[in-house]
Amino acid sequence: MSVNLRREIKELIVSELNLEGRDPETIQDDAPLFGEGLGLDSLDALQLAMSVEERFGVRIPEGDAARPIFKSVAALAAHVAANQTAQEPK
Amino acid sequence: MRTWITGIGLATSLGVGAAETFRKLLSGERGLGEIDLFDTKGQRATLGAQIRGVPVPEGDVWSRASAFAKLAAAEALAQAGVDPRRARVGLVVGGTTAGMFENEVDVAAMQSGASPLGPKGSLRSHPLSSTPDALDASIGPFARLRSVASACSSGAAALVLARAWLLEDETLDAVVAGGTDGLCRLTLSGFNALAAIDPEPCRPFDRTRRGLNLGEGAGFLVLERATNARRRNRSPIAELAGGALAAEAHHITNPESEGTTPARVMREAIERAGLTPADIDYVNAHGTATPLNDAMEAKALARVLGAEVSRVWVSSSKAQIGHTLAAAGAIEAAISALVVAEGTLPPTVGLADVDPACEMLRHVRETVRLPKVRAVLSNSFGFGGMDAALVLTSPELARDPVASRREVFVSAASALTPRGLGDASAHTMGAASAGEVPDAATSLLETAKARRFDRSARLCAATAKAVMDEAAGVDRARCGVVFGSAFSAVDESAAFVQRIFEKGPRLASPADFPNLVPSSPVGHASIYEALRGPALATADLRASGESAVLTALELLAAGEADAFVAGAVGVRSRLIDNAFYPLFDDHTTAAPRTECCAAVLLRAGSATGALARVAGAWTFREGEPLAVPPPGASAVVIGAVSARALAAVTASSAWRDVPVRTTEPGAGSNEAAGAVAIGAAARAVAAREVEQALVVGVRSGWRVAILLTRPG
Repeated sequence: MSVNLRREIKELIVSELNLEGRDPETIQDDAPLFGEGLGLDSLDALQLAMSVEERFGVRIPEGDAARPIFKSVAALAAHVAANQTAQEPK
Repeated sequence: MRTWITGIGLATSLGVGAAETFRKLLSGERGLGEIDLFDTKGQRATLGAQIRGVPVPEGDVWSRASAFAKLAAAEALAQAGVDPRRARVGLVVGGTTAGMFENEVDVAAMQSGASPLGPKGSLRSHPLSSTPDALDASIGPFARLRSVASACSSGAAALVLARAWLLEDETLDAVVAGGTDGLCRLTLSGFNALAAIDPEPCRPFDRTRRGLNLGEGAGFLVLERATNARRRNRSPIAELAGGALAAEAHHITNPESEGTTPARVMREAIERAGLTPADIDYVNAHGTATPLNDAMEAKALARVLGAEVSRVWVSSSKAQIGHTLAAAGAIEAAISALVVAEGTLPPTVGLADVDPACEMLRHVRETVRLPKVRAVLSNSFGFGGMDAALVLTSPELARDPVASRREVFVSAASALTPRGLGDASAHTMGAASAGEVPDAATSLLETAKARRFDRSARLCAATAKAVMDEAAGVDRARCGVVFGSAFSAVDESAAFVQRIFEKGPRLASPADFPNLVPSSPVGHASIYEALRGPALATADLRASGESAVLTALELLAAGEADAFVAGAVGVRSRLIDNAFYPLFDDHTTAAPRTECCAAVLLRAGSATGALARVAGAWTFREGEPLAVPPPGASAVVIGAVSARALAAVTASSAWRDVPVRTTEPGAGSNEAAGAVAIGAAARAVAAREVEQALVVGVRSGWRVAILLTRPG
C-alpha cells in the first residue's frame, strides 16, 4: 500500500479535524486515532468518514463496523486502497 | 410567588390544538411520515414529524415556525382568557430555526453568487427575533418580547425566563412563553450527517434504538401569578413550581455519559419547587432515542430519584411527535401540565425491548391512569450541554418559593473590536478602524481547546475568558453565560446548505453542523471557560447586547445563577454586512458595520471588585416615556447607536440635559455593540467620571434602559 495514500490521509486528518499546528508527518501509521492517541472523538470520526468519502469516493460503514477501519492511519489506508478500485472517486 | 399555568396551546404533527395532540398521544398514535416539505433526495433518513395544512400568514416576517407559534400562543391566551390588548402580557419565544426553511435556498444562492447579494425583503423572517416580532404585530401588542435559544432546551429555558419575569416585574399580568421550530434542509441534513436520525420510527429507551425522528411544531403556555388568576376567577391547569438551567461544559454535541448536569438540574428543579423525589409521580423524559441520550438520562434519573425510581413512571413523547428541537421543552411542559390536570400518562410508543441500560426505570408501556398526579418532572437537554428541568405540580402541592432580592454588580468588562481586545472603556474614544477584530486579539485561546470554534465562538470564548480573568473568585458552577446574536451563523449556514446542493446531503459536514445552532458560540464559551450555570443565546436585532444583559439580570434576580457572563457577538459577514444589516437599518447609526464582541461579568449579591451596581432596567416601546428616575448630580447616557438617536430617547424625560456618549467612534457600528456600551458605562462609573451611567439601547420599535451607579 502506498506511502502517498497514508500521507494524504494524515493531511486530511489534520486539515479536516482542525488539528492546527500538528505536523501530519508526526502521526504514526499504527497509532490509535481515537480515544488515547490523537484524542479524537465520535464527532471527529463522522467528519473523517465524510471527508474520506468525498476525497476517495470510499464509504466508511456506520457504527461498530467502522471501528477496525478507524483503528489507525494504516487500517484506514488499507480500507481505502481495497475499496477505491471498486468505487471511482468523484 | 406561585406561578399558575392558565392556558396551553400546541401545534404538533398529531394536530393543531392541545386537546387533539394530547388525545392522540394517549391513544398511541404516531405523527410520522415521509418529509415532503422539500426535496429529500440523497438524505440518509427521510422520516419525520411534519405538520401539514397549516397556512403561513402573508408578509415577509412570517415563517412556518412563526405560524406554528402564533397558533399555539393564541390558543394558550384564549384558553387563559388573557387579552394582550387589555393586560400587560410578556412574550418569550425559544427558537433555533425561525425562517431557515424559507430562506436557506436564498442565502445559499446569495453567497454562491447565483443570485444578487442584497436586502431581499423575505429575509425578514430569518432572524430568531422575527417570531416574537410577528406575534407582537398579529396577536399582541405585548409588554415585553424576548427571543432565547439553548438548542433543544430552548422551550424550557423560555419558561424559566418567563417565570423570572413574573418574579421581578410586578407590572406584568401574565407571560406567554414557549418554543417553536420548523423542519428545514439544514437541520435534516445536519442530524443525518451526525447519524443521529433513525430511518425507521424511533424507539426511546429500546435496546434497538438508533436515533431520533425530527419533528416540528410549537408549544406555548400562559403563566401568571396565582394572585392574578384568582382575581380573574381562573383556575390553574397546573402550577409551574420549579425549574433549573445549567450547562455541562463538556462537549458541543455529546452528553457527558454519567448525566451529572442533567441530574443536577432535575434535583435543583425539584428542590426549588419545595418538593422531594417522593412527590414526583411521572417524568416526561427528553428521551430522544439516540443511544447516548437515553442511557445517560436513565442513569441520571436513577441517581436523582433514588429508591423512588421503581415507583415513578417515565415516558418520552418523541416517538409520536418527533424531536421538535427548540419547541420540545415547551411542548413537553404542556404535555406534563395536561398529565397533572387529567391524571393520565402517555406511553413511550415504539418501546418493545427495554435496553438493559434503561431497565431500572418504570416505563409507561400503555397509557396509565392514576387517581392523582401530584408532580411531574420534564427534562430537556440540548447541544452544547444546555440542560433544563421543569417541575409541574397540582396547584395545592407546591410551596411558595423564597424570592431572593440581591443587588447585581458589574464586575468586569471586555470588548473585542477592530481595535483589538480592550476593557470597553477605550472603545468609547478615538477613531474606529474599519473591518475585523485582529487575529492577535483571540490568539490567547488554546489551539487544541478551540479547534472546533467558528469565528463567533472564538470571539465569545476570548471575551468570556477576558472577563473571567479580570474577576476573581467566581464560582463557575453557578456562573451562567449568555450572548446575544442578531443573525446567528448566517454565512456558515449558507455555506453548509450550498454544499448540500452541490455535493448532496451525504457530504454535509458533521463537524460544521453543530456550529450552526444559534446557541453554539455560547456553548463553546461555556465549555472553554467551564461555566456551568445557565447557558443560552438571545437575539434582538440591534439591541442584541442589551437583551443578553437583561436576560442575565432577570435570571440572576430569580436566583437561577449567582453570576453571569453576558454579552453579544456580531462577526464580519458578507451576508450580514450586505443583506441583513441594511434590511434592518433603522437609521440609528451613521457608521459602517464593523466586527464586534463584548461582555460584562454580572454578580449577584457580591460587590467584590465591582465596577458598578445595576440600579434598574427598563424595556419600553418607541414613543413611550423613559421611566428611569431623574438623574443625580453627575450622569451620562451611553449607547451603541448615534448620539442623535440616543438623545431622541431621553428628549422628553428628566434625562434630556444629561450628556450623551456614543460608542460608535471607538467600537464602530454593530448589532452587538450594546454590550460595549454597558462595559463602557461600568468603566465610566468605576473611574468616577460620573455617579450614574444610563445605557440606552435602540432597536426598531423598542427601547432599553439600564441604569448603573456607584457600587458602594
